[in-house]
Amino acid sequence: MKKTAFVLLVLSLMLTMTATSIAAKPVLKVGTEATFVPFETVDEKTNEVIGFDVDLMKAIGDIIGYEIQFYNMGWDGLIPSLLNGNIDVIAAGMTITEDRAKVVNFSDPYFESVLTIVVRKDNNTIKGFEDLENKTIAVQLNTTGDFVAEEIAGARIARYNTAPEALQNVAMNAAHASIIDLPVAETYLAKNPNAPLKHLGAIAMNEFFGLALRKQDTDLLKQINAALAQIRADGTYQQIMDKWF
Amino acid sequence: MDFDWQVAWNSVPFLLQGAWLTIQLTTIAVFFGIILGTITALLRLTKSPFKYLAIAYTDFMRGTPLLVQIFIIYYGFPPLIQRPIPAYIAAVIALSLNSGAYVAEIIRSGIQSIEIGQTEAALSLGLTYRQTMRHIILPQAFKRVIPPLGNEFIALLKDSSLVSVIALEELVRKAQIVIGRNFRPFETYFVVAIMFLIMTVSISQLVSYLERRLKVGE
Amino acid sequence: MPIIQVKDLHKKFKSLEVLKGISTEIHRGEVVVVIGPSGSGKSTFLRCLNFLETPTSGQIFFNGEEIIPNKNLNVIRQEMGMVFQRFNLFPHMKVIDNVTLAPMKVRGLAEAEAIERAYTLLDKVGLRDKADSYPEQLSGGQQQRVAIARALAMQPQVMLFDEPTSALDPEMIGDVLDVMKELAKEGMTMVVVTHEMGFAREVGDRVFFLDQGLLLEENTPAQLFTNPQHPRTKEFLSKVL
Ligand SMILES: Nc1ncnc2c1ncn2[C@@H]1O[C@H](COP(=O)(O)OP(=O)(O)OP(=O)(O)O)[C@@H](O)[C@H]1O
Ligand SMILES: [Mg+2]
Repeated sequence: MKKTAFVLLVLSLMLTMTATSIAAKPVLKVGTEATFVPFETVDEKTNEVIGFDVDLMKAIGDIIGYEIQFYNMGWDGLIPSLLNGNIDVIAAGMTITEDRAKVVNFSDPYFESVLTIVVRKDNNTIKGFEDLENKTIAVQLNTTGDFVAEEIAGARIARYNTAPEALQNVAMNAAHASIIDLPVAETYLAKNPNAPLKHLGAIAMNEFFGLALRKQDTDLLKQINAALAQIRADGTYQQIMDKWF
Repeated sequence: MDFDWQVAWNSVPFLLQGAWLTIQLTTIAVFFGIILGTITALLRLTKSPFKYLAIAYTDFMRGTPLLVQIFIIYYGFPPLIQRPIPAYIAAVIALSLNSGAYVAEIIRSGIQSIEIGQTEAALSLGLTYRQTMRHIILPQAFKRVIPPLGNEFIALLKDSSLVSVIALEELVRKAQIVIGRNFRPFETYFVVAIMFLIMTVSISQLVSYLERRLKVGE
Repeated sequence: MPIIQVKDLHKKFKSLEVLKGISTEIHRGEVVVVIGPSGSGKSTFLRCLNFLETPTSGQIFFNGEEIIPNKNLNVIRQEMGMVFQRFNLFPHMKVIDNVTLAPMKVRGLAEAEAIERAYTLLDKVGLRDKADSYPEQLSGGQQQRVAIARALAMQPQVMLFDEPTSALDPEMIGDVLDVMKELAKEGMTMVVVTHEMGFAREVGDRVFFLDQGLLLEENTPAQLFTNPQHPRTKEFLSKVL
């Protein structure tokens, strides 16, 4: 009796192992920094990374035949991790910039982001970047908002690890304003209806988010660009948009 | 990975600004930490009700992460006092309070390591408890705690990088900013490591110098 | 009036009763030598006199005034110098500073006056030339003589000695005993715990024999050493003489 049970167990184990090895697709390791709602965030219940970028990558993975695994890390670790091979793709709401494009390849833009300025509700003097001269600007470290703020004359930049911390500092009067992606500001204000903050709508020139890959991975880049085009054409992209915005 | 010396060299001036802030914050915090720690250690050795305040303080500071303490002070107090605390001030307060708790334990064990005969000799001469502490026990205890205080100084120097969460650009944060622009973490952190090493070795040297100077009369 | 009066002194360390009811008087100018077996409570008795140990019960009077810790203890301690077995000099201070500290901080003496007094006392104990040394640079006998000078600098009315020569090499004991004899000759009131029976005989006015926390016998040295009354005293003396 015992013996048959053991044999059955071994058999079933072997079966499941073959099943998984047949079904196993190659893995694509995707790095992100999950504090950028709604593009990526950590689900409080499951502890998994969720968001627009996650769904987008999964849709791409389905098309190009990869299993997508997300790795949540610090923003600053993303590009170095990509370059040294710890991850294969960055999907982190990363703006396509000239500087970055020197070290990585970007996919076709998959999202058009717009920067905004967030100020306290009672502030009526700040209307654009030109009003931020000599002011304290809260930003998220090494984001486009940070880089834009650096161009503003006399601005004092307070760099925080996450976007909510930057906005919190505007709310508590420790900074005059924050330069931040519009969708992030909208989500923050939706989740914190009592925050004494408002955003000034689309302010900056258009910014485009791209997926970042290693320079040498040109085949993968082509596949991903093709998949992106397909998703846009077949309506999947719109579904994901509707889900997160 | 190829190491680019030029990249490393270029990051030096910017990183030095951060190192200077690191030195400032740590030195100020150690200064206040020693004052606070001494007072706390003395309170802990009395029988007054303040003793329990001192115990609560050291337990809290040693039992919670410095990062959390920095957050509590920077984000927790402004709603109470109706105005923001400058990050620099919040950092000095958090680091000093934190360091004070560790220094208190160091000084307390330093005081307890002084032979009871010293206290007895002083009391038998008619010195008060306070005079005994001030003229006899503390001067000897301070000598003995210089090495562990040096270790605390070094630990705080390294821990002070946590103040970057409130946007203070100390050495590590400066490095992160550089890396966000040059995408060369290895070179940049290499320079950071050298700078920390110079600072910590200097502290060790200072400690052994003080030890040698105070050796007379031991 | 006795300079020190002890009434029914008891001392317990937790459950261990070390002093079991001692009553006695010590008079001005007297040299009292306390002897007894190890662990009999000699040190504890001496330390209760200036409250380095707080008595469990009983009273100590100094010049007729009862010693009460938060009331007059500090002032009375200034009048009772103490010399310890292990010297207990302050290692972080030079000899001169060891001797001037208490007169300046406690008695409020001006520095010049304190230094002058210190040199007089260092002369007396034969150590003027060591004034600028640190204690660790002195031999045990020299350290103990400095400790005596340090206590004397407060110009106390009584000197308490707890086995002042026990930690010394034999060749240094003589120097310390000489200083103590000199003090006795000058009329200092002294309570001396010691195993030096020669000193007790030569200098003591009275000898206390302590055994198991009781003051079994007190008498002049001549009487006590030649004609002990208590069998325990006899037994003890037969071992040490
Ligand atoms: N602080 C203390 N705590 C607990 N027990 C103590 C303490 N001090 C002394 N004792 C105990 O009290 C007893 C008497 O000690 P004491 O030092 O008075 O003896 P003594 O007569 O001076 O002996 P010795 O000749 O060895 O110095 C001993 O049993 C000792 O172990
Ligand atoms: Mg003894």
